[in-house]
Amino acid sequence: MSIGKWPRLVYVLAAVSALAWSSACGAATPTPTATPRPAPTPTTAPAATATPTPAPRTTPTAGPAATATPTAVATATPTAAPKPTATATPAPSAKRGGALRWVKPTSIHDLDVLQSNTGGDLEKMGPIYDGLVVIEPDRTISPAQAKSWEVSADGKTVTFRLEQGVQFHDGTPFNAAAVKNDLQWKLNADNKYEQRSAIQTIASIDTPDEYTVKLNMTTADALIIPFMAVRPGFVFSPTARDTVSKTDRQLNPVGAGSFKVKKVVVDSYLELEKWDKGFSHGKYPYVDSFRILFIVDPAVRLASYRAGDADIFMATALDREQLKNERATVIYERYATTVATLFLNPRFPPLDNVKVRKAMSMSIDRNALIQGTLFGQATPLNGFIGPAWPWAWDPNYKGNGYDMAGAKALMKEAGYANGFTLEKVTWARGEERQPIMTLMADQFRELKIDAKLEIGLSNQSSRLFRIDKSTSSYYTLWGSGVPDLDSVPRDHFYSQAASFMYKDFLDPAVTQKIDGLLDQGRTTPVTEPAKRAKIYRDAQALIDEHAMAIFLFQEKEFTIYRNYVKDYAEHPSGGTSQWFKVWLDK
Amino acid sequence: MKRFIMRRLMSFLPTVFIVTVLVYAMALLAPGGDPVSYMLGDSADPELVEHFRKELRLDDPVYVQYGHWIGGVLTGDLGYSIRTNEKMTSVLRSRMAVTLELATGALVVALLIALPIGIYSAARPNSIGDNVGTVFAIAGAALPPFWLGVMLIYVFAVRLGWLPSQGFVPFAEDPVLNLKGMILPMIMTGATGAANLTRQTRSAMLEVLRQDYIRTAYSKGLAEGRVLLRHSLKNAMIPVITVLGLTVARLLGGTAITEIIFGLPGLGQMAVQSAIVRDIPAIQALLVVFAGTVLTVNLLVDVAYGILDPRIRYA
Repeated sequence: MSIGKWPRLVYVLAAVSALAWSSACGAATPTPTATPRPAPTPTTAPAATATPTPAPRTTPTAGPAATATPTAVATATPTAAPKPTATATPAPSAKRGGALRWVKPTSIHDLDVLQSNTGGDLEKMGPIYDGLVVIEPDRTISPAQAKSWEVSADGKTVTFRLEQGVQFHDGTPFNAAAVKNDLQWKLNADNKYEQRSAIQTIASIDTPDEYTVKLNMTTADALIIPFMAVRPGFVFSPTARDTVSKTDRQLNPVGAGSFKVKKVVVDSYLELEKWDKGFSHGKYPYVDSFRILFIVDPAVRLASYRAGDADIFMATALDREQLKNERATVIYERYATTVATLFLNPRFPPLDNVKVRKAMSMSIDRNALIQGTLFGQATPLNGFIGPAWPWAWDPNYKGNGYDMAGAKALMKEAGYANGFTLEKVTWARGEERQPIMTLMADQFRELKIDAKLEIGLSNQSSRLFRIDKSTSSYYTLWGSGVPDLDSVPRDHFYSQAASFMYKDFLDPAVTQKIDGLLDQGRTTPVTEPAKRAKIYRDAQALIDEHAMAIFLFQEKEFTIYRNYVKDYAEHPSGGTSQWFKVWLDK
Repeated sequence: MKRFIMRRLMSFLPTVFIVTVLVYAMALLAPGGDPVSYMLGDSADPELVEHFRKELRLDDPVYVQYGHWIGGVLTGDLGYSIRTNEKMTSVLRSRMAVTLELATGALVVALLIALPIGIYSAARPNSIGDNVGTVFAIAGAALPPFWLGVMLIYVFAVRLGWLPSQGFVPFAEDPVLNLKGMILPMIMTGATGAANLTRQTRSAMLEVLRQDYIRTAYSKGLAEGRVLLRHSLKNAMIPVITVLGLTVARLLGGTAITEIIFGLPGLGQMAVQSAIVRDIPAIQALLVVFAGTVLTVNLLVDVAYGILDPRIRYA
């Protein structure tokens, strides 16, 4: 049938226009608005919340879903010196079986604890190794592969008693000899273990019997036990380490954790299956399998959760906005114990000029960054101490905070009124980081600094900056996985750390003073928060006086999961959570 | 026919040779001249640098390097990915299956959409159906595939719950889950290819339907369906097959976005990830595979001409 006298083209154009208009208006995801929202009031880590909404199709409940129970609140107050607690017994109502599905935005780079140094890999490798101890959400320490420990009166000796009958995934016995072997490998400078600075207070290791490991340290160290909950305490099978090549270990790690690797499909998923010969002797884990899905696109991540293809995922601020009314959903939020930082390498002139570094820090409007990219879900920082450590944080601390006029004056004083080009400004891949980097570069342009941004793999970017020192600056969320405040300044501002940049650029008296403060902070018991707070504030002031880095903000982190996921215990610093305790009530 | 195929093969081989030379030369074009430094960074671990220099034989003359590399390609040794340290041959084998399944399915989707619409549009020119088909064709070409993919997930996975939102299950493991997981990716990739095919089919059919022998067929009382499908379509297919060959090349490139969105562990996603981290051995291996596939498809297109139109094979 013919249309009539109107030219066909008119109808076609009208139809295409309508389609284009509807696709533009019907965008799947809302974009961040430019309207500023009030910055969140700094508090201790907030409680998890959930509100009822229409039930997602995949949940078995009929009718309106029950309100999800908020999970445990992570407190920020320092705890007493860590003591071994009784081994937790499984909740009597916990159901066994099922497959837990966790969505992550990035693929695996390296599961070999002896080589890997990225936070993303730490979260994924945690279930494969478990650790000698685990950190609870309230920051107390609980036993894991070590069933108990004692600290000598002078704090210089820590004795771990290991669980017996534990095996690595390749059948090698997990015992004191294996732990000693592993720690000695990590302490050996020739092996270039990146976390060596975390455990370098260990002078020697004894094994008085098959299941006892004694760490003899050069000085009392408040963090040695918490570090046994993360990478330094993740023990790799000595048999596999010595027989499997470095490259093969990357995707075929052999730990003694509650889960072992079943299958790795790079860029798609990591599948773990339960391991009955872990420290819990079969009590844990509850789930039969644990699949970690890598979904790069944030819209698809959200969709997979909504579609019921994922049980739990680490959400962005935007996801939180969209899911805050989602039914049968728990939103767990807390302040990260990492600090968004742009580290500066003085080997790249004029970053060797303290006035230039200060000016760069003062040119950044942190509130604008947070409102523009994080929906206000972060607190601006002018130093490295943030609200995750309320016992040390001073919300009125000025440091090298935003002051554009002051920044321009400093640039003029430094002789760079016309700006300069800054090459190799790097950061690790992450979709929320691109807008942050772009906004920062825009703000640097106010000082006529042309920052050349380079994106990279997190492992590569980190290594290039910290170890090779071959890039001018590196943006990251920095923290070592241990929730103590010390983990933020130590790796970059302690002169003995591999990533210390300022050896040839600072007065030795200054570096000595910073070292002294950090040593003091580390050896002062956590039961003396006021004393530690003063120490770290002094270190913060000294670091900021020399503008050794640009501290930006401390963001909130969100984990969103279905209410049938039980006993999920968020690691207080986003490191490895206790996946072995999780069970599925469906 | 055999002679025709042999002639086509004779021109295929030099093309493949030139492609491999260009692919290999890519490594030599790395900034700074040293591809290993480019890949690993200026201050990489010297041990690692030495390891990869030996792997890539960079101290040998260029023609020797190429000879070793092409020898490896011909014997199935495509080196190691720097990003994942996996052997490229085994990686390609597993990922090729995913991409081939996706591309084949997308092609089927494209044909299932394009042929009926193209034929109908040609049979009923200037009708409402024809115009709807035209709108569809233009929209298919204009709509961003990324948006289409997300919309498909939203409608079919989130809202209706009929299909999974992402992920891949190998066919051997569970055929039903495999197909369920591949439907949306195939539609997403195929829809964009369908647009061009639809227009080409319509145009070719219109040309054929104007021929005298078609008028003769109608005047002899043959049913419309028989005229269209038996007498017209075959003659209209030659230009369509040309576009099909080009569509395959586009589909292979288009799989990258699809694989990233749907979390499919295919060649496309690997190509993107390798490019981001400058994993040159992986990129070289992928280029060889992609180029080889496109050239093979075009060879098959040439052979198909000969089958469809005997006049061509004896030309």
